[in-house]
Amino acid sequence: MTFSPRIIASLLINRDKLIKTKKFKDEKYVGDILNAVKIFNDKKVDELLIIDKSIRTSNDGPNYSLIKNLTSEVFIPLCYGGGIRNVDQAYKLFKIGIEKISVQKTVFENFDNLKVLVKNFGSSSILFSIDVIINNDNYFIFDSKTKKILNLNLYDIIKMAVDFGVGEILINIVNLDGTLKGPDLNIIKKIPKVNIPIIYQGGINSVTDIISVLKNGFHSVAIGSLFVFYGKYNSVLISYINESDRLNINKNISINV
Amino acid sequence: MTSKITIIDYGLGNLLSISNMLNYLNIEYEISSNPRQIANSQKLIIPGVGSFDNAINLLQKNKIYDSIIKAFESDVIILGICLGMQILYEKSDEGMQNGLSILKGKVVKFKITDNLIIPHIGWNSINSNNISHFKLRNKKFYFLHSYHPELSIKQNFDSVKYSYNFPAIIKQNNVYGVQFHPEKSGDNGMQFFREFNLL
Repeated sequence: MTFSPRIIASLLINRDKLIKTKKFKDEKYVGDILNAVKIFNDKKVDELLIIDKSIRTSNDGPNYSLIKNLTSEVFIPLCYGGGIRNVDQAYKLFKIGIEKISVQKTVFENFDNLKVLVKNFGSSSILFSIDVIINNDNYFIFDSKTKKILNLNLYDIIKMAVDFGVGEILINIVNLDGTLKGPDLNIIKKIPKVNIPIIYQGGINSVTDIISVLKNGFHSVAIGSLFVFYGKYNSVLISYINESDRLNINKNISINV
Repeated sequence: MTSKITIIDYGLGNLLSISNMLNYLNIEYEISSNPRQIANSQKLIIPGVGSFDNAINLLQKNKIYDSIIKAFESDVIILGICLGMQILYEKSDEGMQNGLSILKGKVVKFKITDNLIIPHIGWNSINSNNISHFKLRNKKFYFLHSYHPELSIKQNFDSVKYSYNFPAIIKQNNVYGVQFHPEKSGDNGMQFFREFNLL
């Protein structure tokens, strides 16, 4: 097999600090983002997803100088999300070395924004990320900024985003964020069968978990806590899958190629 | 003496990623959006992250379109990366505009089969070595695309397999193109740029 499923390291930042949350709360300081990114670069991570949660107001926009510092240090693929609201911001991000942008709020505010981004930058550069909260076996779309459930249907939203030409979709399970409790394997039933990559995030705690998510129908995984914490006291240690993990994953997953 | 590289800034593409890698490798380059400078360059890199029509419109708007053709006509070595390669062809399934038409042939969307996931995003290895200057067989590179040069292209190429084999590196005289992103492909990307620098 030549093509392997992407194991993405998902990093949350608050200004220039790498942080990790639990269920989208209890923000814990992990370390300096620049240092973390350098380590992941050395570990030859498949892809880095960097989300800046400190970008809140509509006026802010991405922290370009920080992003430029990050892209200057690495030779691996970077996807950035946080505060992207228009085409001009996206142009700037691509120019300073980002390959893909992750959008969420701007799409929920107006689905046409997704169309415009796809028209300008092509499908493959646009990732649509959806935060999902589970309540009594029901799956709801969550707005992390207002902490409210959005009155939107997950299945329909995914279908619409695919129709609008989005490149890939990330599903992040709020209840499992930072818990290392293992993934939710039922959510796949709530997702339409589509022909674009669907990335899973939330609760992954082992290579076995990665394999079960990929066998479950997801095409890629994004991982936070497992790659930044170690041991039962959650000491900070940046890690990534090794070669034998990779072989194990590839052996168990047959991507249709 | 290797010739100096000019990276074209036409408003689209991850310029900084390419220049970062060239800096790291101590390869001399300049970034330019000046039509005259581009037409008179020694070696050109055309970056590309974006959509086909948008790229062509920007090249025309910034008066760079004709400069690239002039450079081609004076046998400048040209490297197109991803979309930067696709726009060298005559047409693309992605858009309505005409490409630069430096290369004969067109760019097509992945042939959809039942379970094939498009875009092709991730690391995949080159499985041939027809373009003898580059030694990239079995090396993994980062791909991020939904379109690729058609399989019947007349250029010499090395392929990669995603559902089927398609061109990953193409060459026609002084014109080279890569469907992957060498600037984001770690050590293998560095090897690619070192070899390109020696052309």
